Amino acid sequence: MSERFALLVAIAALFGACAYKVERNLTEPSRSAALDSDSEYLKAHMRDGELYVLTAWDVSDADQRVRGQGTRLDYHRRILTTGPFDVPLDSVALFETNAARVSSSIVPLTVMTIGTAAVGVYCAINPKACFGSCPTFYVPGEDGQILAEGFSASVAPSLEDTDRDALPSVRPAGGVVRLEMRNEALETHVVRWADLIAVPRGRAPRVYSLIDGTLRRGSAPLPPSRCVAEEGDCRAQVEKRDGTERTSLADSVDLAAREWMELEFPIDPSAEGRQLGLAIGSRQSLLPTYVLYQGLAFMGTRAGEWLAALERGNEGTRERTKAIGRVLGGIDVYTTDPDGEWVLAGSVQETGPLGTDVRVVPLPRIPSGEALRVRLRLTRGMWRIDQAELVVLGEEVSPIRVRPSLVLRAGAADTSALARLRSRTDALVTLPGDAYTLVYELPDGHAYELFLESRGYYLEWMRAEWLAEENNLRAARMFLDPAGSLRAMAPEYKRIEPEMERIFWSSRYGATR
Amino acid sequence: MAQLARRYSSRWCRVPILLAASLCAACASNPAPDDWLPSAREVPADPYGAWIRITFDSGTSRHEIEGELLAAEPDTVYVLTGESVVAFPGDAIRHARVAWFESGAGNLAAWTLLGSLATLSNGYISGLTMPLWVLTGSLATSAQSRSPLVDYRPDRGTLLSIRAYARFPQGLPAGLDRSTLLGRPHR
Repeated sequence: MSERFALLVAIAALFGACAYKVERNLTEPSRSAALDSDSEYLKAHMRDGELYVLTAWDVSDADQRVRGQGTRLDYHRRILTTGPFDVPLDSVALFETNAARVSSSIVPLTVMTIGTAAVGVYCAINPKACFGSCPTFYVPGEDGQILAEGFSASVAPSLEDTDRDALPSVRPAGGVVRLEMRNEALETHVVRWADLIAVPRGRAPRVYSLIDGTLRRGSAPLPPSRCVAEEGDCRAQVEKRDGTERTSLADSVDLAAREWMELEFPIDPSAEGRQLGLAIGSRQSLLPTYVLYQGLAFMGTRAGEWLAALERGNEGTRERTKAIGRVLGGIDVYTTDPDGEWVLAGSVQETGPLGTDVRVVPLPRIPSGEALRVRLRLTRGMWRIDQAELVVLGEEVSPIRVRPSLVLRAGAADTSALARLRSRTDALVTLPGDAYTLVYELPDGHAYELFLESRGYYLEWMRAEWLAEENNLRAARMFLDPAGSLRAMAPEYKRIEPEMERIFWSSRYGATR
Repeated sequence: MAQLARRYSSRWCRVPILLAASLCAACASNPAPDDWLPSAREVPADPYGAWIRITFDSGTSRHEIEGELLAAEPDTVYVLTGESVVAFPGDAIRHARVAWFESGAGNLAAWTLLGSLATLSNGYISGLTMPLWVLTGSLATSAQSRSPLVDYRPDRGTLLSIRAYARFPQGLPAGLDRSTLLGRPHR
């Protein structure tokens, strides 16, 4: 980065060095004492039109002479002689001095250059911390949290996938829902579709998306009576979805090292014998983003070849690509069986650091009269948990798929984008800074729980800073020995971990919200 | 891919075009031919006069003459146009613009362009830094483009205000053969 800063300053100096202003002064010989002695050149305009251009000049009042080294030119400005000259003052009509100085016009540009370089340092000093990760969805016109992020794990065409995110805070207005889809990273997004999934709540307070993809009606969430992690009491962070998240720091030796959280829920008698589930509202930290970017940095100039190989490869190749994600893992939910042994109930695998999503892990039925104990096993420093609450699950429900009926770009209808998003074979391609407002019209007659289903993939843009770390052996190791790779990356990640969050959000591309 | 190409041509190309338009609009026009003027650093040793363009009315139409400024006297301007010396009466001048060195504004424009494009790496902050670059750069470039220019209008001064930029600031020498006077050789 210091090289980039130096280059920018050098370029600025180069341009600045070419911007001068000149001050010219004419002086009568009788006022020769007023001549600018700092002027390197003195021009003596003679009465007959000749000109002396002198350096190392001196004008003597005492003997009324001007002396110096230089050139004598006729009025055509042809050179007559060169050398030392000694000229009587009374033959001089006027003296001329010129002072060329660096122009003050460069001052504001110099300030801007330093400012730009500082901002560049801000992001580029840790380029793998810069904003990225798939399309982001907002409520148009509101400054607020990202509602959802689409298909975060789909970093190549062959990894194209469908993602579903809960939209619990979205409220239809007159049966219409508007979502703003933005590309805020140095990425190309290929969006196959972005449909609203509307589920009639019926008489149930909520509808939940389970980890197997089914949608079930359910009760209002019940907070835990106890939450304990390594740092101590974590109940305040997870007792409701309020943006207050439970986080931890990554392990300094192994980025895949796990930690435990333990939760306890009192069981209401009305829930006895019914299907329970643990609703986990979570998003990832920047650890997986770092690992992805580090992988691209190791691929360096050959990243295109690696991705092409992935596209040509078979299912086994794609599985190897996902290996490091499997080692990093999800949030594993454990409960006790009738013998008191801890058993895995399921895992939440929501990918992406931007939007919090809620998924429900169904829990085995428990004996009546007991408190429910749940353990979460998760990778240290990789998860931000906003909510870990108990829900009573009801019947499975069929959703209504609502495709966008209108797409706006810069306030105007974009029929081409609409056609692409409604087609199942075409796709909308977006570039950094793009923003589309998607308008959905809900069917009448129901209160709906809303989800966003997006499908597509995205391509990270290679950053110049990444190329410096090209190391194809380490890139290969990420696929062949993902656990070892995560251990090798740990020290470097720990070095930048404290600053990752600030740099990441500061490097978001596009208009501020 | 075609969709991508269209997007690039319609949006990314707009940035440098807008920048260039902004910078061009900010610059003052310099009447001198390309490569005729000395650079600012060459001025102290340059023996020639500045370039002058005189705008005057003749009948109902407007005309211009231009060339090297040889001398400016209270009522007459002497200009070397091609191979001949024109003595132009001061009271016929509607406007005259003198350019006496190469401003270097192009360097500031290039600096502004590079700086503006560099903000593309600033993430969302570029929404602030790029317009700031365009504004600051346009003002600086505009100011620099005007630094070698001196304008004369009869209602705002005398012709003596431009004499310092003439080849003969002392006035046209007696005995000068106007028919053979040589101009600046091609650079």
